Amino acid sequence: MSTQIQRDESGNIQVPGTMTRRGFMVNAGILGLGAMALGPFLTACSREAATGTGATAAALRKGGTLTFAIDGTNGSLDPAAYTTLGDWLAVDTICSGLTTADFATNEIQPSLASGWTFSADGLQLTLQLREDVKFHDGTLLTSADVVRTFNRQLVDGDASLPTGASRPLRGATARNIKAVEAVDPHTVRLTLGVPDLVLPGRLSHISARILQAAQIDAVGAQLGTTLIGTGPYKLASLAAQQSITLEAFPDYFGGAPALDRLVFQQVADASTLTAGLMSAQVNASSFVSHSSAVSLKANKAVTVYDVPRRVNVFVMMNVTRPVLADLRVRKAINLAIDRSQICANAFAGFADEPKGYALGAVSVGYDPSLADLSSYDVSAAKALIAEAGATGAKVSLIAQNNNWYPRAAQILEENLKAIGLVPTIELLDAGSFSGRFFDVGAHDLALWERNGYVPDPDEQVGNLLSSTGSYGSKGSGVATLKDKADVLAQIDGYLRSACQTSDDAARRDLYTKAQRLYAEQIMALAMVCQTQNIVVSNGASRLGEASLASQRAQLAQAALTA
Amino acid sequence: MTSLVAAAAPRRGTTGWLSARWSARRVLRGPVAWLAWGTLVALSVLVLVGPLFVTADPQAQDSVALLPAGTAGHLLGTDDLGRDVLARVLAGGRPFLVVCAAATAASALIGTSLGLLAGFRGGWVDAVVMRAMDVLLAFPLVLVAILMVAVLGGGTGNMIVAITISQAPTFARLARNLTVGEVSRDYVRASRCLGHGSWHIALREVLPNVSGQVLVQTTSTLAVTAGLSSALSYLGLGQDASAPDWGYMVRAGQELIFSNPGLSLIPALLITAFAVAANFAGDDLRDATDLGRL
Repeated sequence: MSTQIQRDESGNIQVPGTMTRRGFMVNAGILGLGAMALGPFLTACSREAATGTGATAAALRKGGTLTFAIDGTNGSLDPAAYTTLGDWLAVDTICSGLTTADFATNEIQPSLASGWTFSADGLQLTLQLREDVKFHDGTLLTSADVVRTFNRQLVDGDASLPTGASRPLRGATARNIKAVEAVDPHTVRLTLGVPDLVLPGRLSHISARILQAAQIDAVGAQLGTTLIGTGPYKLASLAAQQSITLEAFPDYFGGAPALDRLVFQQVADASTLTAGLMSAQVNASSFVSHSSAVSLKANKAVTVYDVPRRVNVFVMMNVTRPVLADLRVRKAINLAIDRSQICANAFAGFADEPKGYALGAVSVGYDPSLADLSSYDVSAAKALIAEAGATGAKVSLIAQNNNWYPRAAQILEENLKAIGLVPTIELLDAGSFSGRFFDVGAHDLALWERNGYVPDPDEQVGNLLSSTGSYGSKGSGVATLKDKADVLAQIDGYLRSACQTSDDAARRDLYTKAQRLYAEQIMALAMVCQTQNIVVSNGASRLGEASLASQRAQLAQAALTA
Repeated sequence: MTSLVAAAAPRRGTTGWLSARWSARRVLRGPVAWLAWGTLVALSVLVLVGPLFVTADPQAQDSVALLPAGTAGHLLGTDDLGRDVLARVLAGGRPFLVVCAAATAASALIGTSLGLLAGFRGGWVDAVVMRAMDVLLAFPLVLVAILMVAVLGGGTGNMIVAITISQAPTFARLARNLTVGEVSRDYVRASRCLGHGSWHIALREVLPNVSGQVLVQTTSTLAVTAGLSSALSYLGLGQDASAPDWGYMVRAGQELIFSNPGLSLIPALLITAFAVAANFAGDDLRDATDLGRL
């Protein structure tokens, strides 16, 4: 028996049936090149297979499973504790609110409440509940469920809240609800601190979804994993970082859904999501990146919806920083922003320049006479910087490291250089960014967006411009401007008055005054554009795309195409 | 019987890195070796000299974006911010090569020095140095590098530091093991008998005899640092986002992979070519030093 060692031409030992390192590398290289060639081929195949009648023209079919791609899921669905947008879309689908909003028309409509009336002094709102509403376990909705749901977030120290719950209902209702009481089994009364005619709209917020009192008391902080609501779909299963599976609820008060199942599937990678939509592995999503929308729009099988643009993109300026404490510098930065290029290149055209400052053309209160507040004038900006003695001053800009943010930040970097500032960009993950944004000690400029969950101007202007809100106190620090206290009080007064009238023209006038005063005297908020969340479908229809564009789920009528 | 003087002679004549056997003819054996070394040289020349022949500013934006390849003045077209892709590809290779080369060299220098020290001195020095290296090796290399950049911040310098810290333990372990094997050899004992000091023996006798394998490890590490450097840039932990960098260019173009695949694929292919070529070059060096033979 021979025991002679076999060697190749380079002297490497050869063991029968095995591969040398070099051989492995060569073969792996060939395999890799083959895979690269295969990728486009498979994509092309999937496109061909999916190409055909457009989704909007196709007939709908009953039943089936619709896969909806989301940004992520933490495996907890609780209206009192925000986790991810995807989780909140599921909450929005499982639970219903007292009211609902039509995002196409801005109208607030009845939902669990069949109607409502304000008292003469505007300090009490009485809501009548529908009597035919069932929870997913078959029990009927009563006013006790509404009281327990609201008090869970409004009253301090409720034991049913998970650790770290942000209790967003307080902010969503402007911290104005002083008491909630059940008048009778189907009537609820809310007592307010100040009159607020926007409140019925605020009650359509996700954080105001109605829960079952018995479940709150039975499971407490574990409610997020066993959520029971009155929505069109009930929770079947959920797996953190993977998916949330819902099943149709046939006794839904709005009529049985057309689908059998609705799966919210986590797809974190933009190109994977694009490929999934092209091949119909994913039927719909509102998390498509703006740049991907261009290639998706070219695919005949995919529908990219034309939806209202309600998402405000802005640069928040921290007035507590020495260089930004000077109003001239802040105004110069506002003038330096090339909004046209940002809309075209960072948002691939899915954005509008802010002609009405913080209110877009689809909003109540939109006033195009405010277009001058967001004009582009590099010469004037340079002059202001020179006048303020800020030429060569260093400023940092923080932004998120996803979707359109890096592109917009790079354009802003060039814009700031053009007026004589020395900018640096810091791209952060979403969690780090949020922490830095709401800390006046941790940023100069911050590029962010505000997505209104309620189609009311107060959701944008009221939150962004108020000196007492999170943006004013923690984001820009304008609340610290002692020499502007009277101006800030005047702005806050306009904002408050705008919530105490239902006349659209009067509201527009008040918001116009507030915004012009803010831009001319404070200018801690440079509006960049109004954009939308990109809503896309393949093989699905009736998605309530206008609401999805604001990350609200109205999927009761959703169906798959035949 | 071998005389002490003869035994003390360094073995550079047989396996030392200054050996005549390290001639180009011995290293460049076969088409694969030529291709590997040629690719490394070509890529280096391309990114070092190439930008001199491209007039476009790699950072100059234009509102007219995503021009196709072949457009007048833009051989490879423009990206989504209207920047010349060719200029960015050429300029983006510089930080990539700088990080790869500097991090590899620093890893080799620091790691080998520590390994040599540990192996030569032994005892508590050996224990302390190698346990420290073991701690670093216990963590995944990419994780160590990401943690370092997260702590130190982004930028080319910090990336080099982070990658060096993640790669140095590999060199330290290799150099230490080789040194332990060498110090018991006759030529080292002979050198001691001749009265040479520890520094002389370590640097003049032992180091040349372990440097062959260290050099082979260096080329392999070059491929690893290429991957790490790209990964950190891809994750946004490298340079400023607007500065051209191959790793970040792959990420930035990813969303446009279906409409403008070149934005991602060109830098991705260049990174792949560099890493594969470095691997083959290391393989070739290993053969050239006879280290693959038993």
